[in-house]
Amino acid sequence: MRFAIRSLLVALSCTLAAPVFAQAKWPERPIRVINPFTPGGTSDLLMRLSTERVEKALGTQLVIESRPGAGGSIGSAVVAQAPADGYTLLVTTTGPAAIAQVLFEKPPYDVVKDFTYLYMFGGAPILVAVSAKSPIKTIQDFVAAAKKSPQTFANSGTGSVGHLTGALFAGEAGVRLTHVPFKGAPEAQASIVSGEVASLWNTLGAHVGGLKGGEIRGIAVTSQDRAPQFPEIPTLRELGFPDVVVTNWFLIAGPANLPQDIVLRVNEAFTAAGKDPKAAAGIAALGVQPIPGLNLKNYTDFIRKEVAVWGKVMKEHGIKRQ
Amino acid sequence: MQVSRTRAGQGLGAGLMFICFGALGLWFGRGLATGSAQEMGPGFAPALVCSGMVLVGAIVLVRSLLRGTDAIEAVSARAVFGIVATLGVFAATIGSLGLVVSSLVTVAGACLIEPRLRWKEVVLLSTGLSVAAVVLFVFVLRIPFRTWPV
Amino acid sequence: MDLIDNLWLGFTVAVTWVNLLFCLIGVLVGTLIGVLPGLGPVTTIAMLLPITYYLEPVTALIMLAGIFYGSQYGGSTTSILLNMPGEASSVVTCLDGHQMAKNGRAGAALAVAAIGSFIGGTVATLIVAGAAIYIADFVKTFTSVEYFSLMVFGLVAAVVLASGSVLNAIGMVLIGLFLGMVGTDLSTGAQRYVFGVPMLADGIDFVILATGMFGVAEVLANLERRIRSGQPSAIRNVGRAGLTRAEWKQSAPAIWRGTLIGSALGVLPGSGGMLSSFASYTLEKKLAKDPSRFGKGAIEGVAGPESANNAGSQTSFIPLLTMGLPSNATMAMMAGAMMIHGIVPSSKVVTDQPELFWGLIASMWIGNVLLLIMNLPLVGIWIRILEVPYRLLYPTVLLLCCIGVYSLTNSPQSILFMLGFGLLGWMFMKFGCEPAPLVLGFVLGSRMEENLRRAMLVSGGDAWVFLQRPISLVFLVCAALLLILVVLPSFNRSREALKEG
Repeated sequence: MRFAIRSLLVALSCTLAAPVFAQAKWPERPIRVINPFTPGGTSDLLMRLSTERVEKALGTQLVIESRPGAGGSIGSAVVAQAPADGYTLLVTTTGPAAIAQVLFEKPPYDVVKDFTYLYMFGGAPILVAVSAKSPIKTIQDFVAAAKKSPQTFANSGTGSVGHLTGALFAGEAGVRLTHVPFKGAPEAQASIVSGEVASLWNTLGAHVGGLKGGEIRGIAVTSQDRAPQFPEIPTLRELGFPDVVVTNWFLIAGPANLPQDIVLRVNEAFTAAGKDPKAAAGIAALGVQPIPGLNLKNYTDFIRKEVAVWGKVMKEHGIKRQ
Repeated sequence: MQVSRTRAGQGLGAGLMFICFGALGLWFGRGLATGSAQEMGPGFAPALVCSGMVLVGAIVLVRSLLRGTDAIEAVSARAVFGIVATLGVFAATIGSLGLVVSSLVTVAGACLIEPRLRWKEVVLLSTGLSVAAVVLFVFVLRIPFRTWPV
Repeated sequence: MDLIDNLWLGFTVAVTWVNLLFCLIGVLVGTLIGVLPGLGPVTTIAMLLPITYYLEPVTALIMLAGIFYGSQYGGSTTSILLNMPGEASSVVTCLDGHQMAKNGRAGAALAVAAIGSFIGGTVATLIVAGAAIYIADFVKTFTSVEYFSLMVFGLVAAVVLASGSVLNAIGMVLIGLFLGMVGTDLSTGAQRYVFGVPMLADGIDFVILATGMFGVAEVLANLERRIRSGQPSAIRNVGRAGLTRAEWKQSAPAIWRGTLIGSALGVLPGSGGMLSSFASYTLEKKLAKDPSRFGKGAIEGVAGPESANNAGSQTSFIPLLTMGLPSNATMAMMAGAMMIHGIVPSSKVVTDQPELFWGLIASMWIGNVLLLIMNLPLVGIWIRILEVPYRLLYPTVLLLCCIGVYSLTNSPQSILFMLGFGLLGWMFMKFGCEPAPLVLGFVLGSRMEENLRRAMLVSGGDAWVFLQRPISLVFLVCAALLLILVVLPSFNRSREALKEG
């Protein structure tokens, strides 16, 4: 009932507000948030967890629009080209906001110049896991096995953070790993449970269930510190791979040159929404942890640094551009 | 309905169609690597499937020439162009003019395909459907459509 | 009796006013989006997620699950009445369902679809309740090798679908496989047949293809016929709603067989649900005394696949609820909904949150009862749609196709693609080629290639693995037998034809 009344009111207000052109006070109509992936992914869920609170704080409706394709770059390109009026925003992640810049022959946008970065949800580590039945218990076991014969690693998609992290690790550890790509995280996890593939290198979020249920065994995570949900899984940093510190981060962006007051208001609204206990619990369940030291001033520097890191990984490990 | 068998019938069309599909696939896929048995390239499966299409097409073609197949039904240019125009109008207007206007013109356009046109019905149907579309998709299902021209 | 205790627990959770109400809302919304082309449960569940935020987790899941299986129910309606598959799995229902409507048996087709879905849903719910864990253990052993062999079997089954020439059907399967390969190659990232069109980079969307090839092509063909002959309406005879005694006798066994197939295949990730309706159709056609009735309005061709489809949609919850692995996009959405409520879908849900697990299962059965109660009286209303003059009906259908497809991508380009597939489908009709085998080829195409390449990569290029693994071997032997069964009769026929000629 509440929903019906609300949607009716919102619809009514859109209808009345739509033909007005002048931009006196932002926001005066619903804000479109492009999610460059299919609904149900981590980026989509992060948005939907925050929607309610942000809508209240900004006093307008958020409309989440899915524009999937080409690893998130199609939807991101839409926002890069949108007018910088604060009515088109983007929820984005490492793939389209950093790797795309170095993965594609002709990137459809410049991740540094074409966007204003507004809010960082945080980062999810890459999980390194094996089947619970596997004799491999630690990362040392894994490296030893890989030294004997090349081991396979499953993850969701060529050019994804998990894929590049696996390649980065192989280089650091001096072993050969064969990449076995899957369409999605569930299939990748199933392949290590069935014993087809030796290990899994993928963003933590989708595998929390597998770890909790005991089908898979986590042998490492790639974040700076251990994941709060799984304090028993060591980080690669403490295991002697200080250069394999990687997270798959999620942030809100808008077109370049967004007015400063809009930037501040969006940032405030999302920051407040993230503090709501229920939303915070949901965000943590998705494996996303805050990245310390990041704020409005240095988001763009952070992106620039990430682009450089992934560019180096791709070059050093012979991953071809698309 | 009387259907006659002819050499220039459905079989001929189907055979040529399969061959064309296969040949186009092979041509545009010529740059894709086929790889090895262990690491198949992106071109392996398309090459296999497209060759299959050419083969099937050739058999269908030869059989139809030998034995004849049912004749192809006549084409109505009015219907074909009508559909192309109607869907084209929707595609051209939905992004800029919004659901209300786009539905109106699309339905009105669609009504023109039929030879038995009744003006009153066209007006009623297009307004009715336009309103219904907005109620159903925007209000009830909350789909983020642009409703009005901006 | 643990099962009875557990089910009792489930019903005490599901049968509260709030949960019953949201179950009803779920199946209502589900029926609505199932009827509308393009709109699928994934988009709808995504849209409704923020609202479920205020609900108890179990209530939210009951509603969202209702949307999913409700949409499977609703999908049959437009398939039968307008030859427009609202849902991917209802393509098969179009084959004989729409023919039945043309023969004036739309009422019977709709009724048998509802009853079959109910029986399929009920049995499958019991299976989920009783055997979910054992089934999950079996599925856990599946690797790329098994999936590939299963899909080979599926493709052979696709050829049986066609009522016309076997050769044409093979050609159409190949075109389907080909179209399925369009997009970015999973292993290498190479662009295949994308031609610089961004929309094609992730492959052709199934709904766009099916809506064009069935919905738009059907309207075009009807219009053509009307313009040429001047007939007043495509379907004049609405017929009555119930089933005749003979129809009952034909449907009953088909429903049971469909239920079994659907329950089994629904568990498999990816295209399991869709495969089940195709497999059921194939089986019914092979078992029928007179297979030539299929494609002309055989009621088993509706009863079997519809039961299979709904049974499969219930059992597709098994991997999610027992292993935390969503088996399709809708289940991924359900997993997301659970995460939003702080519940991590995993094998621990059954033991840690029994009231959630069993409450959801009990609600699925209640939802199926609600759908049956709702749908049977609706049959009488739905068939009235056929009495609407076609000159009013076709603009409505076209508009629905457009809006539905546009809602998927928010890109006008998708409408042009739908138009392209419409024209392609219309050309297929002209050449006497049926689109159903193409659809199955399309769905299986990229997955089949993916699994083949993965299996070969892991085995180090050794193709014998397909015969060494027992489950895979069974699938391949079945495929070979089916192929012989299909090819032999047509071979004999052509020899006879040559003799006569």
